Amino acid sequence: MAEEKKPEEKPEEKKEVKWYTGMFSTEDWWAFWLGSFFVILGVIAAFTQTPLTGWIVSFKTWTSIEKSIAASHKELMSPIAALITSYIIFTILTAIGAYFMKWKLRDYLLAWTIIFILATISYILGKNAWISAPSTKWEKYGLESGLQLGGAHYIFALIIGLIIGNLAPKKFKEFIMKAARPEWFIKIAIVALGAKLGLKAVEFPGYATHLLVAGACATIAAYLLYWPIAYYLTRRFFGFNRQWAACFASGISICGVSASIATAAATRAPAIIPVIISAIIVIFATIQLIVYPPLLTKFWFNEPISAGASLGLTIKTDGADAAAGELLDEFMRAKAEAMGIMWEEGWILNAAVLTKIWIDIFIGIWAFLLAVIWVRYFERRPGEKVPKIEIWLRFPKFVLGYFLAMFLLMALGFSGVLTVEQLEYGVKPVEGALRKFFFLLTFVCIGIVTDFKKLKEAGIGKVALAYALILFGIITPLGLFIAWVFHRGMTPPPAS
Amino acid sequence: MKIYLKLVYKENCWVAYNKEIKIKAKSLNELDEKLKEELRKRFGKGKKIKVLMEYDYKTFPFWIIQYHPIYFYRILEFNF
Repeated sequence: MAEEKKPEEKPEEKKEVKWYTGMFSTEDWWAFWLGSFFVILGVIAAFTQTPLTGWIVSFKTWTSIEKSIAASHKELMSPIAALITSYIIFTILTAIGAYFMKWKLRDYLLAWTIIFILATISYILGKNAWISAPSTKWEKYGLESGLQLGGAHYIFALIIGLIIGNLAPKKFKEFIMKAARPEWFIKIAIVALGAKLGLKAVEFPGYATHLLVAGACATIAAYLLYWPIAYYLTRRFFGFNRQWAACFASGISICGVSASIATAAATRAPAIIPVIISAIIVIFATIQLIVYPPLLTKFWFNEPISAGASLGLTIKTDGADAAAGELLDEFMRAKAEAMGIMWEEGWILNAAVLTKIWIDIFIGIWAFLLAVIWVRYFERRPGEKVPKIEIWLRFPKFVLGYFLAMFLLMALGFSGVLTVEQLEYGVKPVEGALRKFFFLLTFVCIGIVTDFKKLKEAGIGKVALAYALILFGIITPLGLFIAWVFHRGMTPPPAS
Repeated sequence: MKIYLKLVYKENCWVAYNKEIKIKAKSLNELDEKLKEELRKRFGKGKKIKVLMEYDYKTFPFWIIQYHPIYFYRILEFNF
């Protein structure tokens, strides 16, 4: 698996890594640029009260299909025009990113278009009232029964993706993978989510502060416990060498694939180690995405914010964590609504995402410290220096967009420069309709990149077994406990 | 002076290379030793050489790059 390509025969000369390296060539930075662009567009719309974001297509619960989509500002254009405009604008902007990242543009555009169509179909199907409406709204839609599957559109999107990822012909799969970038799409959505938290913080400042502070504390507590336990167990019971154990421990306890790659670099491990561990992380994150939200809704309904935070502490890719957070938010609110309780949307999701973001932030520092320890004490290479710039290079840049969006909205709201209503006019289409569509793209793409057959491949069995045992036996119970310690008794504020 | 090299791990060996130099070794320590020897031969005594060695991330599978944008970046300093 994951065979390395041949090295380029003629490498570029004199390419020194600087602080701005990757600013226009990595998905992380492009998530920052595109997410920030949409948020700023929303803020300009709020200032000028012009419908600059009104074209963003919004998907509605429907009983007659012509009412399944609408422009965010309905008066601006017809539903079909909003869908086409959204497709054109999203395509152009993501294609600009793809161009700068030197992807094959033609392949990207074709694959992206297919993914866009699949996401749209999933969205429309899943928002059918009979499938998704809670019983409290049956009368509104003229229904006498229904499945009450809140979040069904996400499940459909994931299933479609998984079918492609596991059953489609190899050639088609290779082709569609050109645009199946769940981490890119979710990071754009997370920047938009920052705007949502900023907007909500203006209304509920205490909640937002709690999520921020408790999320950071929970992350540190988890770090300190997870890593040494995972490292010890893999060394003691699975016979991993130091490099395997360190990459594994980081992957399972910090931020998944990125931590595994960063640790492999810090410990100077061959690329095959993080590649194998990453394949396992991605597969298990998808399993967690499918299993955890319904289980948490069923068995931990009285602790919705703890449940959300526990996802951030246990699911190891940003895409799967945010996707699971969104599902859990839908499931929990649907269950609450069926009981006559109306919870504000997005708080459970934000608990999941904020916790994960804190984990992501620390990876640069952790990788740097590990590299220093490894070079100085384990391998003793006196001529080698660990560049401090690694901390910055490994810092997730989309996080800057998330906090920028959040603090910008909070500053505008708290200072009284704009009212909540004015802000919502411009920003709501971004933090609502756009964010949800990019979440849906993520669900389709997570399915596409998850290939369960990889678990059968040679050399992966022992690592996968260790991962499964430690993830479900230690990381998850500890994550639930830590989330409960820091968030117990907290529920989302009532919906306004 | 500064030397820029690309680094890959291929067929159980580390390979550091640019247009003029190509060093191959089983371990990074061995690679560094061989590189030191090569640079000594090329540039002689009295030189301070900084080697900037960036892992060729293009050798990673495309699907993995979205999760983390960089792998290795090594800086070595040799005083001859």
